[in-house]
Amino acid sequence: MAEIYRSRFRADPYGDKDAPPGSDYRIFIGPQHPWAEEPAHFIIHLKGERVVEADIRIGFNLRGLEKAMEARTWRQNTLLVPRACGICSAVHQNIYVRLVERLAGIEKDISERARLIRMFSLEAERVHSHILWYGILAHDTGFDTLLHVSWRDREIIMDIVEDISGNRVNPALMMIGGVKRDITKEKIERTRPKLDELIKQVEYHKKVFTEEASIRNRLENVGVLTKEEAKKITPNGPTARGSGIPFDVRKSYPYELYDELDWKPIYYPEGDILALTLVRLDETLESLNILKQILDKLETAEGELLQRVKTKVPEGQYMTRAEAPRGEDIHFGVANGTDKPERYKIRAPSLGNIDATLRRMDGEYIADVPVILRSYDPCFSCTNRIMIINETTGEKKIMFQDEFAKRAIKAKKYNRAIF
Amino acid sequence: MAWLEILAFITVPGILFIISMALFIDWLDRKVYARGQNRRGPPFFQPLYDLVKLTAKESIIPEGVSKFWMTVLPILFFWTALTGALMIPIAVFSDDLNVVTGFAGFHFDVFFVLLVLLSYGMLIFAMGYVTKNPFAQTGATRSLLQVLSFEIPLSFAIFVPVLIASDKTERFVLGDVSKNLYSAIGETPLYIIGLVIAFAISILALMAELEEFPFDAPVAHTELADGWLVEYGGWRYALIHLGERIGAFFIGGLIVTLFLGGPYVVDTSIPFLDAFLHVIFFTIKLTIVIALMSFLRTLISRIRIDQTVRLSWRFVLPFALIAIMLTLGFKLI
Repeated sequence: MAEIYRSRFRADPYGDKDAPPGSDYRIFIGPQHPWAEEPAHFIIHLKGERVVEADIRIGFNLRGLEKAMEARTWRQNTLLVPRACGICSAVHQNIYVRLVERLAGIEKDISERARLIRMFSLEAERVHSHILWYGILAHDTGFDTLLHVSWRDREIIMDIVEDISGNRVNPALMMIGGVKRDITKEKIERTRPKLDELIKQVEYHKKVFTEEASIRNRLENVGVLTKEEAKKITPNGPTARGSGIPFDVRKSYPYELYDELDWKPIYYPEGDILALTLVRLDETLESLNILKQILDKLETAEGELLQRVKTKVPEGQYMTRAEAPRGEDIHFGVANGTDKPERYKIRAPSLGNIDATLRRMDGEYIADVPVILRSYDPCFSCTNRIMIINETTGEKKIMFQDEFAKRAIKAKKYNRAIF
Repeated sequence: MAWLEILAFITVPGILFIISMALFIDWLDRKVYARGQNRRGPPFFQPLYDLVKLTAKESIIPEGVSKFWMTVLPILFFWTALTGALMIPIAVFSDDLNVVTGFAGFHFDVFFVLLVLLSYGMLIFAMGYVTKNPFAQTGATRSLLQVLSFEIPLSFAIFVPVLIASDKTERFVLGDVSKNLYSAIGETPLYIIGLVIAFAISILALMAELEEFPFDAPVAHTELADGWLVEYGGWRYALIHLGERIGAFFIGGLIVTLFLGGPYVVDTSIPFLDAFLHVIFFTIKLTIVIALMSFLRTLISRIRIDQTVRLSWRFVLPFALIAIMLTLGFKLI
């Protein structure tokens, strides 16, 4: 138990005093490195070409999104909250609008057509996010051809998203009470052949990943996280499903109309990077299948697109979650009866997957580190939520879990602020 | 004829020709690679623009690193590559050898070429090692490992055509090999088996020596941030980059010389027309070899360094031995 939960946050990662036993030297990856599109600082302790232990520092890109939300109205925040993430913007917006609808007590009034259009946006986002991910994975293993080919095919789904929403990556279709735009009959007819073409291409990508020996060698039996370990470390999303944990919020706690569609959650028991890749590839195909079903339903589905909602949200608090492309995304909102939120908290999926990913690296080659780091689709900008700065000295501080818990207990005991 | 030789040494097929061919190889490689990936690729003069831009940039020496070695080693690397390239026989220059020779060609230059190849690899290791950067040192170690494991199969592969050509000639000169190779095969057609295996191995070794895609672990962009190259910038990087491309000319030219008959296609017996045609045919053959290599590297992903070494010792080296044994066997028959 203690070994698995050992603190990877070493107090002095740059000196030799606190180095893990048996390590020769360290390599620092990030915050700026060709591997990383996003700022994160990895400290990799090595013995020869093998990793002994990996550590992470995040906190280079705090944008103060939650604080900014407290200063805006619920309606304005509809357009602020998708900026939490660059790629999975629709899912943040979806969770947010469902949270506000629940607080306002109108979640039963949303029409079937509006819900279907929301789901279309969500699944289209999952498709383009997954294709982006395995394209970059191919680049990390040094297979640039697959990167370019898969991103070329990704343009098909981007065109579809642009067609239905007017934007490429940030569709912003959802509003509190429904959706902004309709998917008309002509658009449905235009979209269908494109989806068929994309399914053919994704099947081809899957064939390359499973049959091309050189890339298979780079992914198979690399960074294995067994089911037992995964249960203790509790990753979420595709990272967990790659280790054989069949947990998908869409199936386990259905929202919107996912329980009315015919689809199955994907999971692979092997726990290596190839399993993760196959989970995402199969999920892409399954999402494309869902998209086709949604288009069929949209032919007959009726209902008003947008409900009338009052600007003031009654007092209360609620938590919603959804299956983002990277895993389980959780939002928690507190309303105080005015038109602005009292407190809003976003817990993006990457945070839950960091520990599992660091665990995967133990004992692997340094050459596999970028592939393993890529495996959970890192998205640190949506993970950065807190930075402790001493106002008088300007000193920045990173809190360790134990210290944080100690302070929290003390604060509760003596009824005072944590900091 | 001395002034003519000096003129040729400076222009075609001398230093200017080699440098412009290096830039052409850079463009060709990037273009074929891009077309293989469904991209447009760079415009024709892009390598030249890159070079000019790089020389205008600041070349930073990190704190605590010897400025002397960081200056000397890139220049040495460039000259080693250029020496190798000048050994490639493109046109007739020596009257007593009576075959095409390079400017630096002499008797037994087949062996000297191997020395140049090895020092080319060693200089890469030294350049990475002196920068005292963990990325660079890891990359340099990988580079050394890779060069050492591919040097031996490459040497065996190179000696297959030399052995075949020794049916016809007594001398160990690169130009003799290209002149006599196909007439020797014409007499003993079974030689072709060993030659094809050796050709495949030398293409693999070419990709490994140049650290091109499947074997680019030493300069892996996503793992080591360009490996041993990481601390070099400005004119030093430009020199190294040009040196690598001249190295591509050298090793590609070696393959053309030893396996594809060098510049020999037609013989008109008119000296100046011959020299002209030799340069043309050599360029065409070199273009084919480089395009083949560039296309091959679009097909597979990067191989990890331990997989590279395993591939070399367990797969490539036995095949090289088989090729050389087959050739020796047919020679004895």
